[in-house]
Amino acid sequence: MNPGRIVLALAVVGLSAWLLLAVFRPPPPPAPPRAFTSSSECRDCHAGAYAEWQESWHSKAWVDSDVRMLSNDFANTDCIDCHAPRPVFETGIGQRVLPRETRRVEGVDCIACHLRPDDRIAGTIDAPSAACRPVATRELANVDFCAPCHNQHNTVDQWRASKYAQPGPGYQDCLSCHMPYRDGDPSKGRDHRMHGGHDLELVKRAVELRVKRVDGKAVVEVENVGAGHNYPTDERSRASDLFWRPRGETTWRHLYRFRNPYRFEVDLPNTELPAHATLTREIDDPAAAGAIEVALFYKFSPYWTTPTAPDPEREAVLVHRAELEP
Amino acid sequence: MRRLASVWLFVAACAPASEPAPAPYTLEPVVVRELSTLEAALAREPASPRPAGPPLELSEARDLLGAVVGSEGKLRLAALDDLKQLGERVVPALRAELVATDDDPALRAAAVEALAEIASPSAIEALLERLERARREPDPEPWMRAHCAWRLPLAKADWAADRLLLALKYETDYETVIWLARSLEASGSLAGVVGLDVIARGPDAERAAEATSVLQAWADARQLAGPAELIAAYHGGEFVAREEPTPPSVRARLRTWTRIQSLSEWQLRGVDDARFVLVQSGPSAVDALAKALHDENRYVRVHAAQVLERMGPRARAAVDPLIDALRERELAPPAARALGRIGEARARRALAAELDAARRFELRVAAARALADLGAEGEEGALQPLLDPATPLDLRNAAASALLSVRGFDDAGAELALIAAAIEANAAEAPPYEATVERWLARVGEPAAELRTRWAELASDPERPRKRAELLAALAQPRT
Ligand code: HEC
Ligand code: HEC
Ligand code: HEC
Ligand code: HEC
Ligand code: HEC
Repeated sequence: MNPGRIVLALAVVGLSAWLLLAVFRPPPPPAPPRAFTSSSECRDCHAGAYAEWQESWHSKAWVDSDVRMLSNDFANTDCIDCHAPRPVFETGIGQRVLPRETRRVEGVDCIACHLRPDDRIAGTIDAPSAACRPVATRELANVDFCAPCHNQHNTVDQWRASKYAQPGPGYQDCLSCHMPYRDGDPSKGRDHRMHGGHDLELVKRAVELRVKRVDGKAVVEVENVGAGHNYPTDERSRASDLFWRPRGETTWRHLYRFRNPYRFEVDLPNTELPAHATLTREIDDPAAAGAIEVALFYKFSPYWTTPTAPDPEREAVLVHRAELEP
Repeated sequence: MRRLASVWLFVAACAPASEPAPAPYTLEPVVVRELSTLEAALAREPASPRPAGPPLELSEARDLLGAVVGSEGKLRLAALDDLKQLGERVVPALRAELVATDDDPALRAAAVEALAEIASPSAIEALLERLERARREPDPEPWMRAHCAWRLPLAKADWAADRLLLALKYETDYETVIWLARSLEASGSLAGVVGLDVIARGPDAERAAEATSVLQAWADARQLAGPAELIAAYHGGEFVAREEPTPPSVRARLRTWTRIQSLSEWQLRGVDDARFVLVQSGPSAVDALAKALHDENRYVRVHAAQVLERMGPRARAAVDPLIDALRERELAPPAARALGRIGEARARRALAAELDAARRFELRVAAARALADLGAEGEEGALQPLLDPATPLDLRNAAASALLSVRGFDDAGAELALIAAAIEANAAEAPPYEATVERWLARVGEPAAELRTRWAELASDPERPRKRAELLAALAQPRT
């Protein structure tokens, strides 16, 4: 078809649609452009999303005490980029974010995720008359939307390599697992609490712990059944440790650690557990011939108070526990 | 499309000339251009002589090293000279010796010296790699890193400074840090003062004493009282003119531009490294960064402004390019902050113009904060209206900080009240406001003596922000 004709045809369709609308339902006047200077302004009209976000760790990205300690109260200004970013849509999907000058205390906030360079709001619908003038923006739901901040340690790449990224019934993306529909109902929009490692229920769903006897030896298996990426992923301070002990004993014995070490820990390999992968470990100890307990713990900071005698019950959270008879 | 453009150009050309509009801020492939120019210049430099023979085996090299270790005086120099004459032929074997573990450590020390004497790019590269070993794998011999840092100046290669600077970021062995600092100083750079200061206050008494004596010696050489004055003078940019006494080599400029290019990498490791090295670099890096403010890559130009900000007064030469950069949308806020930190009074007028309500909010706040850093003398008229309660909080607080820089002890009520509220509301944001108050306390002098004491007493109080806010609020009270 002649391209000129397409344009003409589209113009005619558009014009008649416009005429129809103009005659039968005058469009509401577009809202005057409003420049938002704080995410607290969104609270007035989106109290639900705001309350959820306040519960999320995104809202704490600037005030989080661990971050403040590690960044020396952001005296290390390299840390500001993702913890108080300028809007993702300003720098572009998949591009690194840049640090902002204002309202840093709001961390990763509504404006950082939703504000477009045209001063309108990225959403799922067009509503030019609403105060925030939302525009349906498909990129907001794209995994690359999370990449500016969450792919430095390859979480998005890990997901791409997993079966969850394959089109089909098993497809699940970042939003499926971290931003599910409220009450499972798409018409209610998405939960902004964005659970992660701080949510023990989510961490429990990430992995399965099994223990069995093979030729009399105790064999432990940990399978990544529920994380769409490595377990644990992203932040390098996270660690998950496997322990065992003969039943009746009080001290745990260390068996394995899942973790991506800090850059300077050059003697440590990356031992995260990729999506769908299973770690199998034999307990090579005569004491394991009797009844034993095995446990998987999760930790926010990698170091133990006493490295030679770690006490996971005090310094980590229990994810799964299993027992094995002689 | 092209026709439209030419019609527009025609119309524009015929339009009556009114105010000459400033030329638009240009964005160009600055980094790519500089790199290709420098690479071409490097290719034109005379190549190092081709090795006249096959490379030596490790065992042969060890025999020669043994001769260095086993002799003294002139004989030792002669043995060293034998290695030097072999040049490229012996470099691979010496490089292997640097990481050997099966022989006499004295041979390894001699290998370091020989490579520094050979001083070809590949010999220097071998030393730098050895210096960086702990970043790749556990290093059983940290003393070898100190040794490399000590010997590198023998090679007189200004382009190695870039890697010595980066080593300062990662090095954990105190002895090596001290030698890195000394080697850099020998080439004109005082970048090592910060690391020495850390060691001087550290728990290792022996190294602390060593670091202190190095700092004292440098202070003496510059007619300064001691380490504290030396460090302040370094950050204040007082030695800039003396850094890089000779114009940098092509290779050194290539290193600087390669770092600037790294500012656009996706992985932040390279970006962080580049920022660190460039911040510690000398005047030729300032000139390069000022040019890079025109790079078409957003990450290059924004991070270039950020680096100039972190350099502070040492980046004085970039003030005019930074004022010009206020015209570019993405660059403007970091350029404003850089102007504040560099501290040249002539940037005031330009910054005050950016407070205008027509500017983007982010830029207005950055400009007000920069005026707080710089001192707002003469710009009160633009700031005063921003104290209005209708002004968004970030901007109002920044304006209060800027105005405090020109207020006396008795007329700072409104500003102090706002700053107290800002500190009270959010302890996480307190430090910059506290710094502003401290500058004010220092400036107003005697009348604030009592307040200054009480303020300082709270420095390590666990409830510092709240208590300091109360102190300020009480002071503001009778006046507002
Ligand atoms: C590229 C963006 C980016 C930069 C730059 C960045 N962070 Fe983060 N940071 C993140 C993301 C994303 C997370 C969440 C990851 C996770 O929870 O696993 C995070 C989480 C953290 C956490 C864990 C917080 C918690 O909830 O336990 C700490 C601590 C932290 N960052 C410190 C820093 C420090 C210190 C710096 C500067 C050296 C820094 N970050 C720079 C993106 C970034
Ligand atoms: C004065 C009230 C008001 C304010 C303030 C406001 N909004 Fe809205 N917003 C609305 C209305 C009304 C709609 C349209 C809702 C609808 O039609 O379902 C809307 C729609 C949206 C949508 C699209 C909803 C969808 O289903 O896709 C997003 C996203 C959004 N707002 C985000 C924000 C953000 C972020 C802010 C703060 C920067 C904000 N809004 C401030 C009133 C407001
Ligand atoms: C980390 C990024 C992020 C932050 C922070 C964030 N949002 Fe969202 N928001 C999203 C994504 C992603 C969607 C879903 C888009 C889709 O389904 O296509 C969304 C959807 C929405 C919607 C559409 C309806 C719904 O609930 O799904 C509204 C309204 C909304 N956000 C408001 C806000 C407000 C208000 C804030 C601040 C309190 C906020 N958002 C913070 C990423 C974010
Ligand atoms: C602008 C940067 C940015 C973007 C975009 C972003 N995040 Fe985050 N996210 C962060 C930071 C920073 C943290 C860490 C906050 C902290 O704990 O200090 C974080 C934390 C998290 C956590 C960990 C929560 C926990 O329990 O510790 C999850 C899960 C998460 N983000 C999911 C997402 C998803 C899914 C998206 C995409 C829809 C997304 N984020 C987009 C910056 C971002
Ligand atoms: C199949 C479900 C699933 C998918 C898909 C998924 N995640 Fe997760 N995610 C999890 C589970 C379960 C955890 C908790 C265990 C862990 O930390 O790995 C988690 C944890 C996280 C954390 C928190 C780590 C921490 O240290 O607190 C971040 C950040 C995160 N995911 C980001 C993402 C991003 C970005 C994507 C999309 C590229 C994504 N996730 C896709 C299930 C999923």
